[in-house]
Amino acid sequence: MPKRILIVDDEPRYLRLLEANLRTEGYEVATAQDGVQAIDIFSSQPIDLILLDIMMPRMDGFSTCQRI
Amino acid sequence: MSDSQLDPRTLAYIQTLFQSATMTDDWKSGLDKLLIALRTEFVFDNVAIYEVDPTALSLEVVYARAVGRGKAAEADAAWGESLANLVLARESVIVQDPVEGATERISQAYLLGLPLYSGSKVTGVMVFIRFGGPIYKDTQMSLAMVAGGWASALLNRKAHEETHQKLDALRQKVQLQDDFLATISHELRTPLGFIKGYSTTLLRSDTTWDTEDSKEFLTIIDEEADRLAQLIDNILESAKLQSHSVKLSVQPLRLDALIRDVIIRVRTRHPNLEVELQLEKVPPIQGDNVRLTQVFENLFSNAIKYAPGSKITVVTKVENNALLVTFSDHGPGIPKAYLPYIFERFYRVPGNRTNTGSGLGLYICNQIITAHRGKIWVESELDQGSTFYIQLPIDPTL
Repeated sequence: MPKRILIVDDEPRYLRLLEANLRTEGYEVATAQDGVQAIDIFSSQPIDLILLDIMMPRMDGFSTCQRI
Repeated sequence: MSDSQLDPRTLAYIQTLFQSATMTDDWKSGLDKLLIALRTEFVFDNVAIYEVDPTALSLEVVYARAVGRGKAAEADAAWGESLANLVLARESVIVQDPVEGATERISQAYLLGLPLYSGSKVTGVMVFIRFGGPIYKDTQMSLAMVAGGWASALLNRKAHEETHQKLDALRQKVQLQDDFLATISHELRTPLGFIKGYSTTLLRSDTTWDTEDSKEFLTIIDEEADRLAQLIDNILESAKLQSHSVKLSVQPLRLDALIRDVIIRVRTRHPNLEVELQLEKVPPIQGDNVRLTQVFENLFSNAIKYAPGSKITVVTKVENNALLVTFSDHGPGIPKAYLPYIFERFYRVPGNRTNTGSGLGLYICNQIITAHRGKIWVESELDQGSTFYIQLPIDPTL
């Protein structure tokens, strides 16, 4: 089973860049553009690692981290 | 030790003068109160205070009051000017009696001029006038000199207040420049980061990318390089506009044709952009082709950025003897609270972090339209869209 990484950032081009590079390293990648989306994904599927941005609309990285 | 020989009533009066001059919020009301208190023991009709303008080395009136006879003279403090200049030149108290042979009471002016000091330097002059006398007695001269001392202190306070204001303005300017640097370095770093990140990714020797991925990455690099170039242009532009060195090169032009040209250029980058044109045949105006093109390119680029996928409607017409262009999108609109600020330098509507910008575009637009003696403003309704209005004067000679 490959490890699953969730990347959270409100800038789509960052998400795409990290996603493309991590996939070639053999990881499975999920992406979210804010904290609310991130919590949705985290609670519905197994995630091994989260890369979390701090400043984001709707819910920032600190609140997201606390809720998780 | 024996008790003071000073008369208690005199002391109480001097204390009143002192309190009037010092216990006030600003120099002007300090002078008001000082002179009212002075007048109970020292009669005068008019008083004027002149200050040395250090740059021009000339005197200018900073305070004038007519309290007694000859109230009409209040606005015009020219009556004391020649004496004030004399006091300044001699750096001493001067009494000037009426011109001999003057019969009219108003020309029987008894003048008293006192130098005002900051340290040992004469920085101003206070002039009193009495129409028809009486002459200034020695004790009254002493009293006037006491008042002059406090007037000097108030002038110093004025200088202090002015310095404070200038300092505040400067501080604000420095703050704005700091904000500018912080914003700009962040904004420059973002596109540069993408260019670096995606090219490094493409150049990885341990992996290969299929054609689709490669094309996607190269497109991002291309777009981010454009964005960087535009950002640098905007920064230079705004610096130029800020130092007022922008010169319009004005010529007769047709705005409807200019807008059509802009649309052709915008469409090469955004082929799917939907634009509805209602270009009434409008009279030519005097305008700078390059600058006005810049304004409309900016409006298009904003609409594409902040109202993606929305149709844009451009209307030109003549209204109130001026040319009016309306530029509307059907995007998310701008919250009312932010509308008053959107033409300010470096201002960016909060909450748009996914969209990039320097907060310079609309500032530049406003500067350019204002230089054309025109007006630009915006109306916006949430979830309905935004409309920018540009009004430009029509030249009747064209």
